Amino acid sequence: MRDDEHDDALARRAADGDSRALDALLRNHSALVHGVCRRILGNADDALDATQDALLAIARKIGSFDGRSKFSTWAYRVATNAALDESRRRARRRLPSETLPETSGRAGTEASDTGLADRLDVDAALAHLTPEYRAAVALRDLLGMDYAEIAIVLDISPGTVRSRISRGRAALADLLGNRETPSEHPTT
Amino acid sequence: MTNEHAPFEPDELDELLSAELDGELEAAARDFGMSLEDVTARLRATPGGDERRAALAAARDQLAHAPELDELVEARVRAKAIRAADDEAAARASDRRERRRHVLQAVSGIAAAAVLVVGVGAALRHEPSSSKATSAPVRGIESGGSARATGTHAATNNGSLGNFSDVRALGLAAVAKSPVEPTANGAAIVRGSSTKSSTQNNATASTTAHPNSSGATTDNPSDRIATPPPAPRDSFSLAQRDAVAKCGVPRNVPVSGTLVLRAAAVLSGRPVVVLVFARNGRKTVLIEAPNCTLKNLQQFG
Repeated sequence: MRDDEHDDALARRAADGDSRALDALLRNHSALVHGVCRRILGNADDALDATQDALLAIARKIGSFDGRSKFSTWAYRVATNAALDESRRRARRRLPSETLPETSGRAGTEASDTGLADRLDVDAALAHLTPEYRAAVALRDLLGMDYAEIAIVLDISPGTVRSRISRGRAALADLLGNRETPSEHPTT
Repeated sequence: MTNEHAPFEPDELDELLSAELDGELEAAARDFGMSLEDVTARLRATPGGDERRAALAAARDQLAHAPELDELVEARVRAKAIRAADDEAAARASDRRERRRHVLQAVSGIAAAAVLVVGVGAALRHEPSSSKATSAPVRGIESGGSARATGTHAATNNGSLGNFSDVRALGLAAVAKSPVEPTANGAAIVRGSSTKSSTQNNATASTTAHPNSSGATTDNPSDRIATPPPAPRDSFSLAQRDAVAKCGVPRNVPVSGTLVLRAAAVLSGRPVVVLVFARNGRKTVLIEAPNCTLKNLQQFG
């Protein structure tokens, strides 16, 4: 994971109005913020919008970061909330991406096409889950948070975290052919 | 579930294996109401458990990678966020300055109002015998009340007997203000009624207004006078003070006795000089214009 102490020091400076410290913080975390948004939302466009919202929210709220939790925990909570908000907005718009995994990314928004098939498989597998389930999977497998941290970020119990993570992984395992008939999972 | 070696259901198996992959199996076993050993034994007893563990691990590994954001896009998004934060901070700072300015304006206004109130209060306290102070003796005397209580108080404090509309009231106030007649060996002016010129009278009177001046210690015993308490000088105009100082008994006015009071007053809006002479328990009040011409003469006692 990140150097949390270094991040916390940067966060304190950023909270005092140090733009360079804020820039460094965002640079350190923007890739994973985007990854969380991408995993939760399942498509590049929405993920980019949510990433922008998340970075804006972090930049605007950095002054209220009190250091009681690690900066990373705080920042990914902001990112997760931004992605879940975007997901709700998308649900109200009833876009096709609500139910279908992404089949093509927006030009220039992703670094390369390597592993595209794998990404589509992951998006397709996760599309069967609600955004809240996808958030738990992303926080665990993408960020390496432990169950207790995830429970704090999502404001749920560690047991619920465990259940959501296992269902996300099982969905992907099923889709990848490890099980012929997927077990019953909560769907959107 | 009651059987120690009974296999887990598929969902239970996924949850426990997933927890095992994350090092959270002990907590999961506790939540399942089982010991870690029991859970481990049952996982081993569940058919396909190992294969499912491998599948879940593969899924986990897949999920550990997310599509990356293009560097340029990332830089643009980041710059936008920082710019927005800077703008917001500037706006907040501007708001704070504006609020501070409003607070300062309010405080300045309050302070100015307080200074004004204090200033007006002080001015009222130091105002010479104007409307309020000067109308009191007139009202008191003209209504038959105590002239001493009001008129003398005003004269003592302000160096003036005050404003009067009635000449009789002024006379009463002057008598009330004047001290008792001095003893025979005291400073007394016993002037022949008409033997001295008005110029002499004026000169004599002038010395009485300035007891500290050299003229006050004249060798002529007939010119010595009782020295009434000097009126405060700061509440008179210079012309009034001069008039009070220089006026005496006009020629051909038969007044004798001891000058016991010399004061200024305003009669029907015009300044006057008031002289009170005492002799054998009687008091004579002369009211003169500032040019020392006699306006009124009253006797009391």
